[in-house]
Amino acid sequence: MDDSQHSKSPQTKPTGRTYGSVDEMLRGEKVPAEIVTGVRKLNNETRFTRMLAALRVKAGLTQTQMGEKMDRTQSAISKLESGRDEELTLADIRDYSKVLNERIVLGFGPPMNHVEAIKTYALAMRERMMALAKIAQQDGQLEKEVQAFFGEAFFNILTILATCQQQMPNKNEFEFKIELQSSPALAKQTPSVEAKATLVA
Amino acid sequence: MSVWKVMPSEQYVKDQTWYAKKHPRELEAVANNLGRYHAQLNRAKNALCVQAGYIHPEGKGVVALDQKGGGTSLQETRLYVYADDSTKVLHIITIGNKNTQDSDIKLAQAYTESVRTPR
Repeated sequence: MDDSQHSKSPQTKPTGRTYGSVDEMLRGEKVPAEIVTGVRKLNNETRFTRMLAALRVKAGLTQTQMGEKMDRTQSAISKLESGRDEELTLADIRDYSKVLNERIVLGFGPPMNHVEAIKTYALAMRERMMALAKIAQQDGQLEKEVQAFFGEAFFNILTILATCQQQMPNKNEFEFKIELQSSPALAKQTPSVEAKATLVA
Repeated sequence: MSVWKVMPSEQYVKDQTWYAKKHPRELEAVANNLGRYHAQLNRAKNALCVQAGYIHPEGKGVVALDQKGGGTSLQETRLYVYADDSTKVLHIITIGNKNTQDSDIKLAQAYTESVRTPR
């Protein structure tokens, strides 16, 4: 059976079915699983080149303009963006970051699970907030602003916890209290801190 | 940033079934480029801003995406789409090869005329 045996209508109309992504469409339109896997594999092999192209488009630059700013030809940019990640160099990524003024972070390895991710972000938050507390010691105005920010952050974190708790099966039975007291050593530098919070479902 | 929806046409659904059986690697390649195009649309101010080597404007808003980047020894394949800026719907119209190019473009243009939102 050759391609001439595949029927094409002179006109067609929308199915009316919409999808949020191409992957979703392929699955929704019952494409064989091996094809979906093949597309995902290609997708994974071009993850970074796609990201670079998307960042360029977001900045409103054509490939020609990008090439001019990077001192390369339009076809070199086209080849880079339609190529595979393994062909990218760190210099390519650095140049995109510089021209587009975008922070580009590359990650390798297995993804973090939820608990690992939360712990990592919490530690990072603590480090940043400690740095802010140090900055606050410079003058009174900064101290006020950092204090206000800490209050806002405290409220937001509690709101997040309360929202998540609402999704739990035992949402009506949950209550927690936070009691913070600075250590005697710290008490010399900062007034004692006490906070209590109760979540009522 | 707008989030574009993807909507297949009835013809595309038939084409997809055919290509999945007869030209699976070509289908994978154009679907991968469709994913690229969709990701770029989600970041772009409008559809016209999205330009790349695998994208070929075919008139009346129709754009053909080719199989480039999908590997070697692939048959020349085109996936015809229409990105409607006013509704943020990416219409997937039909897939074809060099032999069906002319009729595919006519079909895609007629489709585009029929779904285009009046301005």
